[in-house]
Amino acid sequence: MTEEKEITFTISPDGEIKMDLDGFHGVGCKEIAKAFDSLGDVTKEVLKDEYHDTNRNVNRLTQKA
Amino acid sequence: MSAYRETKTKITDQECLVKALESKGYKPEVLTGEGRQLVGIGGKVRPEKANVILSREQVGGASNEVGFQKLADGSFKAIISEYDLGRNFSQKKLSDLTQVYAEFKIKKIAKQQGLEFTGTSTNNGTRKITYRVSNQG
Repeated sequence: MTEEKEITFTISPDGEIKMDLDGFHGVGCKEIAKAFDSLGDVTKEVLKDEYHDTNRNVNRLTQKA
Repeated sequence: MSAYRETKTKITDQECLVKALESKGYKPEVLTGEGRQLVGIGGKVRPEKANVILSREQVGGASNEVGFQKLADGSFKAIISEYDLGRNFSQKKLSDLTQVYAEFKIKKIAKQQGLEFTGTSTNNGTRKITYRVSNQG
């Protein structure tokens, strides 16, 4: 089953952009974030646990077993 | 969530800037190269040059032209006289324009990336846009 990936942009009245990437695992997350580099100057970036979690599905199967 | 990023919008895309101005009801004059000098109150030519210009008539009765000058790094700098910042083209107006520009720019990149638009909403002046991604890791 494919997990849904979603990107949410929040633009404040003064033009600050917050970008949330949900459901991504591994480098694809960083690649798509990079596509939006031209929006302006990045002031903060946080990579969540899932970014490093490339073996997530394998772990799930192991836990079930 | 696998990543979170905050970005301070920098206007670099002339097409999106023009679209943002048009969405606010302006009809900007667009110039290539160095652009031209802005015209001030009483028709007096000002020293500042710009590439995207709003005429005095559009800015307000007794006003200077408002311009956006393309800088060496590719970004656009807004040129607004102190007089107009206090009357016809306030900081809030510039912020609103920046917000609209950001939305046009996000939509442009999202389209190039093949993202599927799923919705937009506004809450207390904050715009929210969501996309679904089907082909990324």
